[in-house]
Amino acid sequence: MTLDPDATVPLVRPFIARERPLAPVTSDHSHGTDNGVRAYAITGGRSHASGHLEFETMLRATGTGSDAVQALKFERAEIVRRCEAGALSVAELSAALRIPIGVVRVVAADLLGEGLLEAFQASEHVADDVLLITRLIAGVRAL
Amino acid sequence: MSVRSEPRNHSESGPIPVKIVVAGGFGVGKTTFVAAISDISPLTTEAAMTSYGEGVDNRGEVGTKTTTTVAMDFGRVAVDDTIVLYLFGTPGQERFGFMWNDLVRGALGAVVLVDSRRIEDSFPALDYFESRGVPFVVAINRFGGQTAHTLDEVREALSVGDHVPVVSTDARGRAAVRDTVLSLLDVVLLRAVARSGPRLPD
Repeated sequence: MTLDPDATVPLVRPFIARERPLAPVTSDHSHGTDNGVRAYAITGGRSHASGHLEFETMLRATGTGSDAVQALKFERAEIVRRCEAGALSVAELSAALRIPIGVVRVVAADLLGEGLLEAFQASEHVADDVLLITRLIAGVRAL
Repeated sequence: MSVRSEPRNHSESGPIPVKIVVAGGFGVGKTTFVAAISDISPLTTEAAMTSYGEGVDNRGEVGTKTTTTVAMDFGRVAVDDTIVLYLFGTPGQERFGFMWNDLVRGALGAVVLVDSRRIEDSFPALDYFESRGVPFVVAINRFGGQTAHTLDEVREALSVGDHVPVVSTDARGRAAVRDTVLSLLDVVLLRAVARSGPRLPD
């Protein structure tokens, strides 16, 4: 890690006197809850890093999912149906279905585990992926 | 079973979503900024955020923890046939006790929007990204007119390091927003190159 040393020097800004950093307390998802609806228990049986759905994780219905959609109920059916036409992010599904993002995550993770959805997510190391970032810059420049 | 799309070199394997965060004080133009570049009208989603009794909102009850639902706006840009760029505006509640980690995890970096008349509104965002080592740029939204202060004055008032670009932008203008995003991506690229390449002597 060759981070700029300046980045680690805490800077004290005027008007804000604080005893400890304002950064949120890091919390593990294992004891997080979403509106008290369901616990975030989506990583069971999978490694934590690879099983976690981010806000931007894109989901697409698999053939199996499309075949099964008639038999699904409630949010499960809605999510698979929305993902049949093309990949949609967790955040977009949350907005379209008016379901809190945490609930979409939980339901989608189940559907993923059942093979009814497939997920697309950048690598954990995307911030080190020079090739991808270069492509991104070229694409944004052309906008 | 891995959710991560690997290998990522094959476009037929599916989209590659990437994310940047747009932060700043209330009314600074975050949603306008997102809207200026998004392919879709900004969408709103709700997320539960756990807020800890900490920081400037603290009424003396240290350690209290409540869960609040916050709304956040986001947009989407199809960058090429594979890469999809998501821009997430930070939730409207300007409280930094809540859990931002969820939103920021996996983000390439952040744009901190600043209203030069109320620069202190951006302090919590700057503190957050600095403490987390998230690359960011400071973008002064000139609201279509002149800014009240020069970039250097704002840089000094914000006490950001020399490695942080301070740029002027117009959140309503697509070209200005695109250029601001590019200035962030330049920082992201430099960092990626520095970390992946051989270490050079200073």
